[in-house]
Amino acid sequence: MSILPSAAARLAADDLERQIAHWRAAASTFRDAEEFASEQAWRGVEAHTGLPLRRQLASMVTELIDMGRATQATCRSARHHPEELVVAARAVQQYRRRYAQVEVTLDFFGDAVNSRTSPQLRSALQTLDRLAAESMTPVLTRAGHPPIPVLVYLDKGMGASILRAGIRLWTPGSINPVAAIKIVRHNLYRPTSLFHESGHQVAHQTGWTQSLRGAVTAALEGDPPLQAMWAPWSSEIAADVFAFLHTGYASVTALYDVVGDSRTILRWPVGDPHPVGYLRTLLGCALCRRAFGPGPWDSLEDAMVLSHPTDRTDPTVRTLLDRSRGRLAEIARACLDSPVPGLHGRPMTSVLDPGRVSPSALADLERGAGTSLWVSPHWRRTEGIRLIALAGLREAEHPLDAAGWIDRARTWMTTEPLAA
Amino acid sequence: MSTIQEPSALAEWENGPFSEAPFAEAESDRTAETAPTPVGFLPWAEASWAENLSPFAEPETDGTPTDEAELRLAEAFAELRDEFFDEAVDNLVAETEDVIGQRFADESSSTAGPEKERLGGAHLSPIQFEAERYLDRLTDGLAGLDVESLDETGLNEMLDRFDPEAAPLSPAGEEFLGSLIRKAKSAVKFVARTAKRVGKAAGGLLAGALKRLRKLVAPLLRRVLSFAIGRLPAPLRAPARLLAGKIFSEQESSGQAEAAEEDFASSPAQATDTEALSESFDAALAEAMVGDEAITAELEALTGDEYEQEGPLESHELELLAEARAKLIDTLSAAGDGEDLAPAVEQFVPALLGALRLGINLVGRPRVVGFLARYLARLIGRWVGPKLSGPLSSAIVDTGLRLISLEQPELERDNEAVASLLAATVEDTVRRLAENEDYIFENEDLMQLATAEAFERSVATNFPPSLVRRGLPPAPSIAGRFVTRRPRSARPYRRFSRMPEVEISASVAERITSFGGVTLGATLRAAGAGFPLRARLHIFEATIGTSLRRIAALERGRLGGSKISSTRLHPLTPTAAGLLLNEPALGVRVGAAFLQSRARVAAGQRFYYLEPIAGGAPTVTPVAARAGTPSQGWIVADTIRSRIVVALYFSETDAQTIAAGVRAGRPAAALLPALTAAYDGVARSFGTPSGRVRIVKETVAGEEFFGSVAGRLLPLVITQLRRVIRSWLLPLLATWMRERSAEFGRASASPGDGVTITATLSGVPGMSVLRDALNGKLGLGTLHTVASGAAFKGTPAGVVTVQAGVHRP
Repeated sequence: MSILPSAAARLAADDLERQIAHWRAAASTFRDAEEFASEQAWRGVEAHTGLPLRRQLASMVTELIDMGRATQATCRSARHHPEELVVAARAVQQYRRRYAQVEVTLDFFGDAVNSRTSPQLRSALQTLDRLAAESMTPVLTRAGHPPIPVLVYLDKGMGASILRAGIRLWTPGSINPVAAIKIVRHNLYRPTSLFHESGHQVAHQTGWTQSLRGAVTAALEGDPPLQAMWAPWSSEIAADVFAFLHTGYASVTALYDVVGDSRTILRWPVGDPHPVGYLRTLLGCALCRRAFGPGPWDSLEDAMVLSHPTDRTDPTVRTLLDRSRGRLAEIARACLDSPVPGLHGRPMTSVLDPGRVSPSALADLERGAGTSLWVSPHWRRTEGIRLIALAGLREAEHPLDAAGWIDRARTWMTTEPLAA
Repeated sequence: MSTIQEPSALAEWENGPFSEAPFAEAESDRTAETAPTPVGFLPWAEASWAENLSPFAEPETDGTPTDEAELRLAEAFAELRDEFFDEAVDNLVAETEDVIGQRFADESSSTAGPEKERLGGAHLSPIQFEAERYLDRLTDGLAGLDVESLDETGLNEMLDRFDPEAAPLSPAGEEFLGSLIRKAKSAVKFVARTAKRVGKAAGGLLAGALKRLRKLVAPLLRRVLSFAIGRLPAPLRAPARLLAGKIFSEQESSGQAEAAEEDFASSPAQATDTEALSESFDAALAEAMVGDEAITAELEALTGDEYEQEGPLESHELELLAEARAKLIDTLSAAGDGEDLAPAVEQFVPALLGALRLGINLVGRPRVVGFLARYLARLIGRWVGPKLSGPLSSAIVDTGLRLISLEQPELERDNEAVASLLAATVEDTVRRLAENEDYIFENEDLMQLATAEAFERSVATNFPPSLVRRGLPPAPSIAGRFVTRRPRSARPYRRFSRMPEVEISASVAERITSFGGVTLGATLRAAGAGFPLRARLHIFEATIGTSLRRIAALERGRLGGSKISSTRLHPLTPTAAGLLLNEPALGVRVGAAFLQSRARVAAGQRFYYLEPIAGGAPTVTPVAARAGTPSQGWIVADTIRSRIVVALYFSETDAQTIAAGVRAGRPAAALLPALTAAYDGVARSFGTPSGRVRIVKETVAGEEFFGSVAGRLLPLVITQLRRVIRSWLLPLLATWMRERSAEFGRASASPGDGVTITATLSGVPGMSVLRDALNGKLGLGTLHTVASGAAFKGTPAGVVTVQAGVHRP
């Protein structure tokens, strides 16, 4: 914009002031957290998650408001100094963009928090917040990292997702203080996918993904096409293994329920970081065999292979699928034994023993705790993750009673625990 | 009467034991001031019932002690005492406070008082309705029934038939109704059991007791409402003169004992509390349960509502104090540099003394009050005024709280921060001075020394450490100060400006005792905490008018939950402060009476709240509807029936851990060590003021005693008793464990929080020795038998029972 005659400059300056006044007024509403979620929903997030989150959001809003004040001052100055109009106009545009970025951020977290709409949902999601955080803490502690607060929110769809803690948010200069994990309705009370998502956070923080990639590639030595196929899936494989280490067979059956769509289970989309659903399920069964020996996963595998023969897919893919199936034992071993840089080269199993979620260990838990297992707040607090593993295992073993197991899990997840 | 020296003579005290003034900077010279005319205590003197320090009527004696009647009364009272009822009343107050607080932000009960009463009354009225309806149904149902002929099982079954259907009451309302029903059942069972003993028909006694209970509900709830709107209600009139005397003598004697041992004293933060209300409720009901003619006649002589005191239902001393505080803060805020503040301090002191139970020590000593006002005015005057307050204002900002919250934070207004701090310093100084004994005020030098010391300690508490002389701040490594929250309300409190992070190991937690003698370790385990526990410590201090439930309600937003219970506040004693923070001086020593229950705390007493920091061992789950009861135990030694009952309660966490071991076929490894440790824990409290051991004994010459054994038993007797009970109890428990440990597993699987194992020893040898020891009649010969163990020789019979939930003997 060139220097305008005085009347035109005044007009331009007036308009800039009008614009900035509008955006500033809009931004001022961000101060009230209830613009994005109800007070009850905010209070439904525990302090050790809610406070850092609200601190970050409050800091973002404060910066936005300060930026608005400065921009307005620039616009006012431009009214008397037309040569500053260009700068003022640019500042207003920047402020608009920043406003939008802050709004996206606040909206995201507001929606996430607002999914705690009822006391039941609040209770269930608080339980999941806690369990997700607990799943990461032993590994993070061993790796010398501070624990990470988690905000779980509910949304529709098939698959869960995570917005990792520590990544940059939409607003420049702001870092995500919590791991925001989306869980979907059909898995709310069988939340093994929760640990897949928290596995992403752990894998990122400990450098596990790269190391697992190397281990799987080494295990597939002599078959470059197979190496090329499996290597890009390392991140998702790490997350699947993490879920397995926490919930055993339950994670495999839950995964199969998600990927078991006959239209997509054999599909290999270009660039998709997720393994082909068929192979993903087979890998889960192989992990079970490796850790626990023979078991119901063998039947699951046989059933899946029968239901989804590989001759239904593209011949090139089919070859890779069949060759992969032949190497799954090695891949499973590589996954469980791969060194984790953050754990000083020790495998993830050195912290998370899969033996704790074997069917026999879970049966011991069930026997030892007796009928109080599902009702006592003590077991809810101390064995929450293994309760999910046990519920998933029993649901898979007794499909006719699946509704009963879901109900049982729902009850213990939504009954309020005792106070501290 | 000694002459109070003019302020110029204070130089001796300011520069004597204190080489400098309490402040880090040098004190400047002052000119002598003429003494103002002493202010009277008109508002205080005219409060009719406040003049009567004891809420109970003076005992009337006809010269004939009725030992038997007193014994029955004591038994009935003991039968009724239920800490869960006390807790339910307190929770009902807290809930009603919340309901009112959500509508009325202004805490002053003089603002919108009638509206607040209406709102609180509306909240309580369905509870009253359900309670009275139940009692009516119970009374009608029991009319004409021969309850004496029923055994315990039959009586329980019959009483359970009258249990009401679930009514749509609030959570605290349900809890209150439940505990009231329990109390009614206890009363019925007691009457059924004892009527024959006293040669009376149970039916008549029952009708009278239930009628009394029904009549007590409305006055009780009226007093709940008073507490909820920030007033202190008069207790229920309880002409149970000996019970009253017993209650007070227990507290006063324990206070005197402590005062003799240590140089501390504590005033209650509130002149009355919900526990006193529950006690007076039980006392009034106990009278009807024993149907003593003398007592009944006394009651029938009363006119009108015999459960109400004569005079006002409520006292307004807290409101008056709040107004006086506000006026002092306003004066200090508006004062110019060098302005005379003595009149402002003098107007404040009477209101403070009126609310301070130990203010009696300064009542009638206007010269002392006048001296105090001038002394304080001089020393705080250097910080008042636009110029002079600058350094203090800057120092406050540096140590102030930084809050980030969605709630409207109650930050100190900048212009009030200095005034509020100075007002708090004045209040603390007066309180500390008033807690001294009489002889201090009789001696000029001692009085001035006490004043200087009180002021010094108050400065160390309230001022930023940078302005306080080295060695005075209680926690130099933490460098914080106490900030008054809601200084203008009737229920202010103080919050420490720093929140240090701590890591607590299991062994440290076991060495820290909380209210009621329960260890912090047991409390944290019951709440699901793992060790080591990393937590942020929030520290609070009570002032006049503070209640812990109010702190919990007002801090819940900051402490991160919609449901924070006062059960998460623990006393910060010097031991706790030393172990948690390595700063024992940050803790405060108080009388044993203020360590029993959260309903009764002292002004100046400190507390802490542990906010778990996520990570490490499984964290405590902050949001909850109800606190997990920590593991604890009780012993009742009945010297009349030669019986000892030991009840060992295991929290849900501990019970499940033990039960898992029992189910795994390891009862000896899982259960026996837990039982042994639990008994040893209770036994250690034998002889301590907050002990969990109670003794029932006969009355002797009008004396009444049922309570803690503190100070009553020789150490030798305590040691032997502890040892011999252990020698009887453990083999009994071991046998039970071997034969019936599966019962523990079954009980742990039942709904109910935790498991209680009760061992009853009957035909206990040596109870007469114990009685003699309590009466101070232990001869030398008997002492020898105690020392040798012969006094308790023999093996009592024993029975062990297991129940889900908490069951006190």
